[in-house]
Amino acid sequence: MSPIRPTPRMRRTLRTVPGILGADEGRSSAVWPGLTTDQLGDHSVVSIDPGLYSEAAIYKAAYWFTDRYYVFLDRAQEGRIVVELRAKETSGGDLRIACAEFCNALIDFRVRDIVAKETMPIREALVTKAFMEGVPQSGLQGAISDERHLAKK
Amino acid sequence: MPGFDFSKLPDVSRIVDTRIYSRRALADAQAAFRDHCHVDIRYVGHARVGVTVHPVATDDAEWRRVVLEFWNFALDAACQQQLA
Repeated sequence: MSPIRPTPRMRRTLRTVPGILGADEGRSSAVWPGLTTDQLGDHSVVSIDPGLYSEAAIYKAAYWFTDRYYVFLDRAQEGRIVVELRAKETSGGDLRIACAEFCNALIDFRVRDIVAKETMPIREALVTKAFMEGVPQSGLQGAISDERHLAKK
Repeated sequence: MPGFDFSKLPDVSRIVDTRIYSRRALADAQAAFRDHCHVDIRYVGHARVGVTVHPVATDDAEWRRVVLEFWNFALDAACQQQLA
């Protein structure tokens, strides 16, 4: 029996998500260019290209996040949608993580949209079949037992 | 609240896009928060309205919470309308 080899540890690497930028990216040397402070406190900003992520996916992700964060949406120039995230508690949470989670949620909802579109004919067929099974057939076929074979004996 | 100077707490104004925050969503939020803040909505241009929130709050934390909860409520209403 061969010895069990330990699973190699995965090395996590930061990936850039196409279509998503910190709002001031390219204009600042800050560690997280999207982190800003105003009279309402710290907030992070994510700028999204609606050509890559449907508006429905953006709304769903924003709606999902209003449970844990204060979220504000705006439309910037060139049609990009800007998402502003703030912690519900002034001392709570790392807004960089919030942005990263928001980007993941965008991908999640976008993929769900794609899969829903791809599988729509199958789901419709299954639902139609399920309903058709409940529709009564015309005539009494199958409802009365056939005992003709007893008469032959 | 008698004896408290609300004018010391600043108003918060934003210009919002009505393609995201529909007038109905803003009106719903305005109605829901009528006991917590006074809201002015004015037309500023194509698909843009200016919204000023005057919170009725006694301290900074409450002031922040009222303003941000107002915007979360408006976003919830807008999302429900868009996704309906």
